[in-house]
Parts: sequence; C-alpha cells; structure tokens
Amino acid sequence: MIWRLLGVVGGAVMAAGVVVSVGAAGEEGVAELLARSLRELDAGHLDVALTSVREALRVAPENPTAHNNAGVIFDRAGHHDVAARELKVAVQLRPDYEEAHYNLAHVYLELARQLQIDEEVE
Amino acid sequence: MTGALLKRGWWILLLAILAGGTPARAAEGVAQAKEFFQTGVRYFNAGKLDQALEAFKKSVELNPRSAETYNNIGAIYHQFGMLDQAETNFQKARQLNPDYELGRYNLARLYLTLARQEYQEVLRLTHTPAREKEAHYYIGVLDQVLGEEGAGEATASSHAAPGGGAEEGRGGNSPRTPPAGAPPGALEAEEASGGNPVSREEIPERPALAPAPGGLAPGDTAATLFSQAKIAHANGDLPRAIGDYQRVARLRPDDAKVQYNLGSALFSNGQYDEALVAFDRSVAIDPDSGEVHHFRGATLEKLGRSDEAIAELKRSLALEESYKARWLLGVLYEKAGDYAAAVREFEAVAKAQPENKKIGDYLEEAKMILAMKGGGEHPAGPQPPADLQPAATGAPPVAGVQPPVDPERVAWLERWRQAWQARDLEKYMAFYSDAFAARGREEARSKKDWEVSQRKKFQRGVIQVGVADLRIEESKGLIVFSFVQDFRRGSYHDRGLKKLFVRDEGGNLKIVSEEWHRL
Repeated sequence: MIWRLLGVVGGAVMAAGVVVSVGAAGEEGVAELLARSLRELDAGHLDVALTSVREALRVAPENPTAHNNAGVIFDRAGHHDVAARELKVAVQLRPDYEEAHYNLAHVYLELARQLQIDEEVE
Repeated sequence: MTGALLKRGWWILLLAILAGGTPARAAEGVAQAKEFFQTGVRYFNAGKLDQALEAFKKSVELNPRSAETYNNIGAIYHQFGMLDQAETNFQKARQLNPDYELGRYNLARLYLTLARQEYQEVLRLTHTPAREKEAHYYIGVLDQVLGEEGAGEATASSHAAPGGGAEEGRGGNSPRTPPAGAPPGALEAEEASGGNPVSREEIPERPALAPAPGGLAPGDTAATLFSQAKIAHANGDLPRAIGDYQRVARLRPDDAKVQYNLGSALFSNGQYDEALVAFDRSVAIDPDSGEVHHFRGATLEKLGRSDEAIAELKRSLALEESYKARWLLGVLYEKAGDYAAAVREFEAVAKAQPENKKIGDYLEEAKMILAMKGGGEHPAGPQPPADLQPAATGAPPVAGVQPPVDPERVAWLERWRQAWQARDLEKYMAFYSDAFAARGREEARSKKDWEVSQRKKFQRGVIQVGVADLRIEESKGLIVFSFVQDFRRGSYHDRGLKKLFVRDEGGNLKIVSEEWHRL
C-alpha cells in the first residue's frame, strides 16, 4: 500500500516536472512539432506525422491536441482502437475539446462498422 | 498434431494448477461457474440486475474463459450506463471468442451508443452551424439504428427491470442478454436462430477526422488555414473544408487556386450554383487553367446546361489535354445522342489510358448503340474484347421498338437464376463461357476466377434472387439481358441493374460477361 502510494506521488512529481519544463521552454517546440505532423499528414506521410506527434507527446504528455492528432493519424492508418484510446485521453484532458469529441464519435462509428458482417457486393 | 495437442494439454494442466487445483478441481470449478451463470440469468430475468451481476462475476472468476459470461456482465454494465466497464467486458468476450455473434452485436451497439454520446457533446460545445447540423444528423440516424428516441438516456436509466428479458433487451438501446430462463447453452441456440443484428449499411458513413493545428505561426494564418482546409477536403469533411476555404478566400481574394479548391469542395458537396460562382471567380483570375475549365464544365453539366458544358470542356481541352475532361465530353455527347462524337472521344481516352477497363466499357456500349442505330464506321481505336464485339453482319433492330421477348431466352435466364439461387455451382458455371470475364471486377477476370469467387459466396448461406423488368436486346450476335436484380442473403439485401452479355456457342447460350450497378 505504501509502495503504491509512493508510486502515485512519484508520478505526480514527474508529471509536474514535465509541465514546468514545457511551460518554460517546450511550448513553441510542441506547437512546431504538431504543425509538422499536420504537414506530414497532409502529405500522406503517416509515419513521419506520427513520429512528430510522439515527439510532441514525449515533451508534453498531457497536451490534448497532441493526443487528438495522434488519434487522427492512427485512425488514418486503420488502427481505430488505438485512435479511440488517444482521443479518449484528449477529451479526458480537455472535456470541452469539441474536435476530439467529434473525432471520437466518428471513430466509434468506424469501430461499430468494423464489427458488422462484411457482405460482398453481388 | 500430437505435439500440438500435448502442448495444449500442458497449458490446460498449467492453468488448472495456477487456478489452485488439479484438473478435476478445475472441472468442478467450471460446473460451479455454470450454476452461478444460471443464477445470474434467473436474477436478470427477475429484474435483479445487481444480484445478476454478482452471480455472473462469481461465474467468471471460476471460469474466466466464458465469452458468454463476459458478454452478460458487459450487457448489465451497459444497462447501468457504465459504458467503459461494458466495453471492457464485451471486448474480453470478443477476445475469447471472435466468432461469438452476440458479443459482437453488443459491442457494435455499445460503440454506436458511445458515438451518439460524443455527438451530443459536440452539439453542446459547438458554435458552428454546419457542425451542429452534422451532429443532429448523426444523432438522428443513430437513434433510428439503435431503435428509439433518446437512446443515450435510456442507457443511463438502467436500473429499470428488464422484464421480458431478452425480448426487451433486443428493443431500443439495450444490449442483448440471455433469454428468459435460459440455461447457459441457450445463448448459442438463440443466436443461431437469427436475432436482429444491426446491418453494416445501417451505420452511417462517417466523414474523416479533424486534426487540429498545434498553433498558427504569426503571419501565416492563411497558409495554415489553407492546409487545414485541404486536409479536411481530402478527408471528405466537406462542410469544414468549405468553411475554411471561404475564410482563406477572404484573406486571399485574388488567389485562383483557393477559388478553385473552394469550387471543388462545393461541387463535391452538391452545391453546384455556389461552385459555379467560385469557378467563375477562378477563371476570371486565371483564364488559362484547363483544369478549372474542366470543373466548370462538369458543374454546368450538373446544372443541366449541357451545351455550355460541352463548350467549356472543349475550351479546357484546347488549353490542356485531360482524359477525364475528354471522358466527360464523351458522356455529354452520348447524353445528347451524338454517339459518333461520343465514340470518338472515348476512343481517344482509351488510347491514352490503355489499362483503364472502364473506358473500354463506355466505348463498347457507345459503339453498340451506334451500331444499333445504324451508325457508320468509326476511326480505328483500341478494340473491346473480341467476345464483346458486335458481329459484322445482322440487321439492327428498329429504333425505339422493343423486340418481342423470346420465351426460350426467358426460360434460359430462369434456369440461370434457379441454378444461382440453389447454389448449384456446377449448373451455374455451365451458363458461363470459357471466355467469361466479369466487367469491373478484379477478382473475376476469368471463368476460373469467377468460379473460385462464387464457390466462396455460395457457402455463406441461403440466397434469394429476384429478376424484374427484363429486357433482351440483340445486336449482331451478342444478346444483352438487362434486368433489375433483387438479391438477399440473411439480413443482407441489395438491388441493382444487372446485364448479362450472352452469345450463342454451338447452339448453347453462354455468358461472356456480366456487370451490375446498385440502384
């Protein structure tokens, strides 16, 4: 119990450390990484786009936009379950994040669609 | 094989030991699990969902490999409105048995419920009329699919007794659960009897997702916005693309490309009048873009201004060769009844696109009609497959008069239909020529491919095939059976225009090609 409690406290300290470092020096870098991921997504380079988003998440793991964009990239890559996970994190971090709710709705539709019988066109 | 069984045996033993007992004790545990399962079903049917949940949980502790039990736990959580827990349990059921229809059905409905919930959030948060309209649309569709108004609320008000058990569970938004008084095995029996799964076609198509910019660089708002608009456009999110293009157009009023993209998005969204305005603006800024004239022509065609569309497409082609523009020009000529001009354009496209099978179909059809109308010779171009070429002799039918239907041919078609419906592959394939190739189907470029493809489909279950509005036309040795085909398999249904291209091979009619278009 004590160990678990320490773990939680340790995690909070680490998270706080990250937030401070982003606020001090990383915010512009994150914005740049996200802008780059968008450009790569636009160009259809999903792997490069994902690398940029992952880098952004490494610097700012609680950035809802980064989670949203990661969700979009995973969705585009056909990993709808992972996309849903990322988008859920985005809306948990920012409950009034309209785009992420919108995206999540569509991913759920896709997940439902995937479960239906894939009838052939006769 | 033996090795695999031995390995499996080791796992079973190992799992039993880890579970705290010998195989005999494990078997005892499974028996107890069944008892708890049945208790859960009884509680469920009595409307005591809390007790039912407890019983199912005890059952799954003793037998953690029961997909049915996880499904039932998920179903109760769904009724409680605890959707995360419901999802976890439905997914667990699916992992344990991916073919478990009931679990798949419930998980699909859960996702639809979650989608509806998210659209409601969008509705609460958005200030964009287009987004609001879209969310309303999806909520409406999902309500229909889920079977009742206010589906989300129904899920949340879960503690109401389920009453009739599975029957009630099937209606509305409720997941499906064990039938009244059902023993564990009855779940499978119930599933085998049919049920009423949500069909794939009922789930609305979704637009693509909306990535968000990480922040706009100062002075680069229009460029970023334009990039966003293009992403939305490429993803098929037309309302968003149009909105963003319009914003960019206000920032860059003299940019022909922006107007062109805006026009394209409006065109794709069916807003042809607005699209024409955008293309007009684009042409006014840059009159030398063949592509813009092409799209302007396409828009005029949509607006029913065919003569202007033809003139615009000619203008486009004078500026820039484009097989797409030429193809559309051919279609417009065809619509105008000028088949000779249509054939000329299609032949040029076929020459430029020798790998494109579709243009071959267009060309062949235009040529066939031209021949039926008594049209003359045409310049040499790529020829359709030898099997489908009209023969060199034979009188064309009288234009506008449907020749009397030959009862023997009708009977032949009926035999084909019956062979298909009976899924008698040998009889069915006997109707096909050795030179058969289905149009527009990569998987059926030869008779052998077709047989392989149909063999698989025949194994999927009972089918019904209906034929209506039959027309039989003949031109120089090629007989074309056109009819409305009604196809059903289980809950799947489609209706389309079928054409069978048939020729006489030594006194036997044989299908050399066929095509189908959804109606």
